[in-house]
Amino acid sequence: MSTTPHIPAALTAPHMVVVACCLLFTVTFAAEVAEFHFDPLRAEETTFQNRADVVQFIDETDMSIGRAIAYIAWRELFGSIQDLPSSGTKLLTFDDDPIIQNKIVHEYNYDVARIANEHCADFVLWGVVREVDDAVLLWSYVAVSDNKIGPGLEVRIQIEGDRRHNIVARLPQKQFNFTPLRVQLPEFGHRRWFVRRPGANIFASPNADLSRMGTLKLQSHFDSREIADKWVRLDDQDGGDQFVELWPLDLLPETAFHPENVQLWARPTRGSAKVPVDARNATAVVENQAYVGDSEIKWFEVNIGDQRGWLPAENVVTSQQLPAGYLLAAMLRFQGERFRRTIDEVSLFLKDGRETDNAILAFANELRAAAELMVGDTSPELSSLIQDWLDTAVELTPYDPAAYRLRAVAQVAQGDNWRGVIDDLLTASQLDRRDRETHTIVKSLIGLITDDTFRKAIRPGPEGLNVEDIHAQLIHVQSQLLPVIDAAGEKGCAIVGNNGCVCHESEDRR
Amino acid sequence: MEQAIELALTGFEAVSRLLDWLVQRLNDFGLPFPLWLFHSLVAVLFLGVSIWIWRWDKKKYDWPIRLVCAIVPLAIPFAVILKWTGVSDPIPGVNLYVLQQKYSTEQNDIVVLPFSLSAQDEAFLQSDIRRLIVTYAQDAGVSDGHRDISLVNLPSEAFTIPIPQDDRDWIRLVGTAVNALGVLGIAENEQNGLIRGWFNVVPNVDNFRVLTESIDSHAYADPEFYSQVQERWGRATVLAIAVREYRRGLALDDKDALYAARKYFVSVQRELGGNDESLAQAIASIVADIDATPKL
Repeated sequence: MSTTPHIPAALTAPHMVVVACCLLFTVTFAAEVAEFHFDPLRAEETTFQNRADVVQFIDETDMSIGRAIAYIAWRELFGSIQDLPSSGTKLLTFDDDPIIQNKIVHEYNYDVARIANEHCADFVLWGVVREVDDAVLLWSYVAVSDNKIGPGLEVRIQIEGDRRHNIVARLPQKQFNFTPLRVQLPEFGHRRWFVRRPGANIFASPNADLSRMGTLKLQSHFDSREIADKWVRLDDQDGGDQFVELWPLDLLPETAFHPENVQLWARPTRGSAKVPVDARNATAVVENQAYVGDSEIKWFEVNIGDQRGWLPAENVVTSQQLPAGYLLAAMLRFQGERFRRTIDEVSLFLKDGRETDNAILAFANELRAAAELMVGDTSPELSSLIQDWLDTAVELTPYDPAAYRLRAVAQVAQGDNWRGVIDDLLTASQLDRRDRETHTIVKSLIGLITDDTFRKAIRPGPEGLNVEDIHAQLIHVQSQLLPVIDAAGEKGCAIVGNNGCVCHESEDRR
Repeated sequence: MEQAIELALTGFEAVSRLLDWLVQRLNDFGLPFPLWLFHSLVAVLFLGVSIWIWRWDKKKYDWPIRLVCAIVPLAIPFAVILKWTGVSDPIPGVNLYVLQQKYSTEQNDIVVLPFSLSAQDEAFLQSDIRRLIVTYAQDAGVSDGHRDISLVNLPSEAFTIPIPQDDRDWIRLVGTAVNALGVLGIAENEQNGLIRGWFNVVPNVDNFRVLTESIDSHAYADPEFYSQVQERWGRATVLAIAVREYRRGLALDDKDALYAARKYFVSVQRELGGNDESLAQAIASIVADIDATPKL
């Protein structure tokens, strides 16, 4: 039972949980999946709860770059989320197999979603690449597994009264079709690589059957001039041709954003001397990296201003080639309950500026607002920030009820603007009178407002609404809603006690 | 005399429009009839009626009465003949016999008008445009989006005049003649090098006047061009499917079709931005109409 008069007190961490839904259907498409070749290298990374896989990009002009782009995206994504103990990523390649490629080309996200199902991945990043002049056009997509029932990412607020009340707002998450990018080929080929595994042999041409010219040292780094298929061409100043296979290599990120107080270390261990730096929210240039100890904790050697030192990778958010990578990492972080890093990741995605799709930008703002809500800090500055982000989401997609619903739930959490809550729910109900989520939230709030203990705790806000007013307004919103229809076209019901329509438990959960 | 011929042709055109309308209704009821087949059947039927009238009881009816009565039903076969010969053609400059080789029974095709693009440009554009449209439709929850939408090239032999890009009615007539979901065209302006693409939604209902979406770009390789294709043509396609389902739902009293139409309309509405107010209002209006349908 809540002992505090205001709802914000109920928003402390113990009262808030995230449910990142993944109700699993068993759907098998063995024939399709059997055609895939898995990279054995990352076998140890495939056993996690939250997974995002990367599928080889479809290469329309047959320039052998689809696999390389996927490899880069995969390494970047893995670098971003490696501090998450419950998350992982896997690279799926189909090489030259026309069956899988044709299948994806005809069915796109549906087929990729089936692949995700089969591999128990929550998300799959895939894409298409095509050469034009001296550049490549690059389309990236994120398909969400059908295993997820409902949107998958949600904010759940628990408020104690006579009983526990759950107020849940799900984020609108379906498939993501990202804005196409044009990337210059020389720019694409110039990367910095880190030798992660033994076996980085150098060849005179991209053919592993030839005799090797030498081997790159483990944990060393080098620059590349060109990337194609499974090969990296070294940037050899002498102009000679030297090729190394991709599989032992890790990508060195260009920058690492350190959102909190920076602490640099003289060596890649927390026991080493501290390097004095005077920076906050700094973007560090990454010079090198190292894997330390038996658990292979990753460290970056960075430059901040004129100071050079080491940072543990878990404290930073690294740069990515694809905007989709940031958003994917952010969703995994949210599911992994790393809310601060979710906000950092989304902030980098928005700062990147290449994504222009309103719905995706609105989703990004909603995701970081949801993450901030889950952090549970109720300071006025953060409340205002959350409000700003949700206002932005509403401005970007003013006809999406989900944007209003989330803002309403955020205002419930902040507890002092019931007028705003009701206005947003009314708008959401007018935009879609059969929206299941709006039904559920209104029903939950009516349950909350009729809770005696909670009623006593509410004080009339500045807008003058008392408990009876709020209750009457919520009933009015509810009266605007029509019965929900499920996917089979049958009438369902998400309203208890509305015109005699009573939900069964199973319907309510659907 | 000229006025009489004009009047007769107007009458025949009215008859041929009536036939087109009947084909549309048949399609709504799930009886996919190519226009040419329907017209031919109707023409033969009315020719038979005319012959039957002429052979009425010669004692009971004098030949002038029989002649007059027999000529009236001949108007239908005449209208069909005039239509196919192009005299009373509802689509000027189009050979419907050739065009209707691409007739879509399920109204799943987005037809592409022929323009002078290189074969490679055309192949890539079609592949990219289909992917962008289908992925948008999948995002909108269109069931079996990949099967629901295909891009089909219309034969250039079917067009005897340069394609009038700005004549929306003409383009919609072409789309209607092949029972298409939409008509798509891309052309390069030879003077300024600008690329102009447009998409006309074909299915239509009185309470939702659907649209033409035009895109101008400097180059095919411009990412902005593809962004626009995805957002605007993808949206137009989903709206076309929604209208198709709405018509089908009303005609067949099909609750599932109405529900699907509602879902697609709402899905498009959710993605709209602040500048799309008129479209949002139109969608809200038709969704309200669907919600008011007793079937739901």
